[in-house]
Amino acid sequence: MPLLRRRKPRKKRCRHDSKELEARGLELRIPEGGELVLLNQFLILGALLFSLGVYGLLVRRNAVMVLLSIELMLNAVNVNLVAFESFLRNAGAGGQIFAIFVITVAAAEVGIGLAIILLIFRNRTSANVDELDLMKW
Amino acid sequence: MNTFTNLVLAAAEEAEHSIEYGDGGIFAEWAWLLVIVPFVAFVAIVFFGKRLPRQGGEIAVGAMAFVFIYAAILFVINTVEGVVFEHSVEVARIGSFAIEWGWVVDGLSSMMYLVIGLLAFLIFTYALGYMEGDVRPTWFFAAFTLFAGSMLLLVSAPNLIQLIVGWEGVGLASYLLIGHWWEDKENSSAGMKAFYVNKVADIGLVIGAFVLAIPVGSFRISDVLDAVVGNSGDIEAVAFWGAALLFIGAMGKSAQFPLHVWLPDAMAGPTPVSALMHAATMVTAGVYLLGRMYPLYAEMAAEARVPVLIIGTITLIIAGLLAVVQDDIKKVLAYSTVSQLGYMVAAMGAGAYTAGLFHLWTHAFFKGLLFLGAGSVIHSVHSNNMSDMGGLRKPMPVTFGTFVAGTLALAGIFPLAGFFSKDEILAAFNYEGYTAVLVIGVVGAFVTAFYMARTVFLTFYGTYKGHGRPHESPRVMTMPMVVLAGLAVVGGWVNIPGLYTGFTDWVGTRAQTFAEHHAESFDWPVVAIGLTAAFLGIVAGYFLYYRDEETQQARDSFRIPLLWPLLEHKYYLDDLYMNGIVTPIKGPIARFVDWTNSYVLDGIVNAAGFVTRALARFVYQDLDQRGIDLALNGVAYSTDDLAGRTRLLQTGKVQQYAGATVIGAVLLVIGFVVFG
Repeated sequence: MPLLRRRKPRKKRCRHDSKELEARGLELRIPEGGELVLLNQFLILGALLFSLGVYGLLVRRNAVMVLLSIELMLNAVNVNLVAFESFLRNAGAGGQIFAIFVITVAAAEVGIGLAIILLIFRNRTSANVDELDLMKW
Repeated sequence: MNTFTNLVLAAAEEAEHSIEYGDGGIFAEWAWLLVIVPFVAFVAIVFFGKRLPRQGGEIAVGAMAFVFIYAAILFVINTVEGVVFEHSVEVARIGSFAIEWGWVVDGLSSMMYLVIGLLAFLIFTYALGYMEGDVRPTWFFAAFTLFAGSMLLLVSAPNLIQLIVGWEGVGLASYLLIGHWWEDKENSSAGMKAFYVNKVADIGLVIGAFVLAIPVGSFRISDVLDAVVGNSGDIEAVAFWGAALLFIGAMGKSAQFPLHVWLPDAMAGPTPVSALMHAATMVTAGVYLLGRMYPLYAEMAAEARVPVLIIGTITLIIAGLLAVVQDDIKKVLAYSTVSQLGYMVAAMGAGAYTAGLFHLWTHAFFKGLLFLGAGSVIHSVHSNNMSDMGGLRKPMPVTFGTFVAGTLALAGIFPLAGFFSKDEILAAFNYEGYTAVLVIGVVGAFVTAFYMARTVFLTFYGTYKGHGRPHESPRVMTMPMVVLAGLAVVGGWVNIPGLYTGFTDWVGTRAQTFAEHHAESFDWPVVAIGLTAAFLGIVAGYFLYYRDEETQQARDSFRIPLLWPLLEHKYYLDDLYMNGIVTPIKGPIARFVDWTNSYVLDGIVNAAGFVTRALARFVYQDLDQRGIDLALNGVAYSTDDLAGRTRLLQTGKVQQYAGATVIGAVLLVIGFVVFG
């Protein structure tokens, strides 16, 4: 969790100070034969995707779209996981494995979620989440 | 005067009031089992009876079978060698008086053991069939066993205290059994009536016991009778009063005029109860008491025999007349029992100890039989009234045959049991010179034969007037009747003057002996008169109730003017007791109790009520309502209010929840960033 959060100035956080990383037993790794791609770029992509997902989750009325937004958020997290994994030595294959887990869970979740939505739609001829407020006071 | 003296008396004179009898060996020593086994059975039935297939009836019958077998063994031993055995265990001591429990085995008590054991065994077996499907069979058999056990306790008593305990136990058990079907008020009232009337008589018994015991210094019957036989001066002074008071006790249990009123009402109980009560337990207790204390009545308190004779004679004739007007078959038999008890008591009063007990012996067989027969008929037609019967000879052959045997035995037809015993009583009247009593006894014999003939003709001949289809009773009920019918035939053959007088020896086998006249041959004129009276009674019954069947009912409703209302109202005795005794006593007592109740007791109760109410008001209004309740209600109201507001957050809209989650997450992130 708090890999990069330590009592350090904020500006330093994204600089990939190799010494600091080495002190923690981690090492910055540069992919071979490729242009150096900064970790920041992946993180920004992930943040954008996540925000998009949050936006969709909060504002879309159609339940299918809400589910889609959740997928978006999950995948944003996947991007972050994979990015961190590939930029850090000694991280093992943890990022990739976690991403696969997330994909698996997401698949299960979509399976169940879509089934629920389908049944709701059959019963009420609508998948509008605003109308699904039976579980209130 | 006749110079006939029996063997016992002759031996008594030789050995100066002490005859060598056997001690009965181990069987007499263990005779306490006779008393204990029924009581153990009683407890066992109360606690385990319900779990048994027969609801406890098998325990009762088993206990009675044991009593019967044991009594038969004692009886045989007594017949062979003559047993006098007595043993007492001290239970408690009050001053110089010892309270003891013990048992007596002699000729008199073994005769009673046998009668009780035999009759109880047969009647309990019968009850297995009769009480099938009853509401409370377990309790019935428990109380029934208690009944027999109490009677055995009474009979085995070597002292007056134990006799009174058994006496009261019999009264209690009879109360329970008469009121067995207490759902009907009538039945429980009958039970109470029996209990109360007996209590009135018991006062005499208790006072009499003390009157006799105090000069002797011991409650032991043998000590009292030894003092009597030894002509002790102390007891001579009280002998008459003691004997008269004991007789008052006997009048209650043995239903003598004017305390006989409870016995007909006691017919409210189940028929096996009536059978046992009339044959072996309860009503024989009074006669047994007279017999047990007979040495007292024989000479020392001979004047006390006069009221005994008079009351017995009155009883035998008035109860016999009452039996003629009854429609309820059991009441006919009940009044018949009262009448026969009158014979026994009158015989005792006339000085015929053996004859009185002999009639008890034969009466047990045929009256038990007649009640079982009546029960069988009632079981079949579901009514007690003879106006609902008739023509039962064909559908119930066994009942009919045995009932007729019992009727002839009771009427005193040669050679059945009743003939010998009744003849011996009448002969004793004649010998002692009580001609008036003899005449009444002969009239009584005529009346007896008449009402029994009436009963038989109304019940078994003519046409059936009831509902449903009568049927013969099951074998478990008819077998005891057949056995008793056999005994009703042969039961009298144990005391035939001039031929075999075993019975005289049995009941004469006792520690204290006394002089008594025993006829060596029949008193032929009396035999002729008695038999003629019995035949005339039967013939009269035949002409009135059988000969022309069409008018049978018309004749049954024929009423003799003047006499009939008197009989119908039972000589107005019940009215006299109710209006003359119960109401005058009840009134003032009730008024006094009412006054005490409304001014004294109610005052106390009201004051207590007022204080309690004031205290309660304080506790309720100030402590409870304004204190505890307010606090609790406050908590409840505020919780409710808060919950009412808070629940509005639960909108049911997922996106609002999701928004809240996102805002929370963002705030957490900001928190970490800023404060981390």
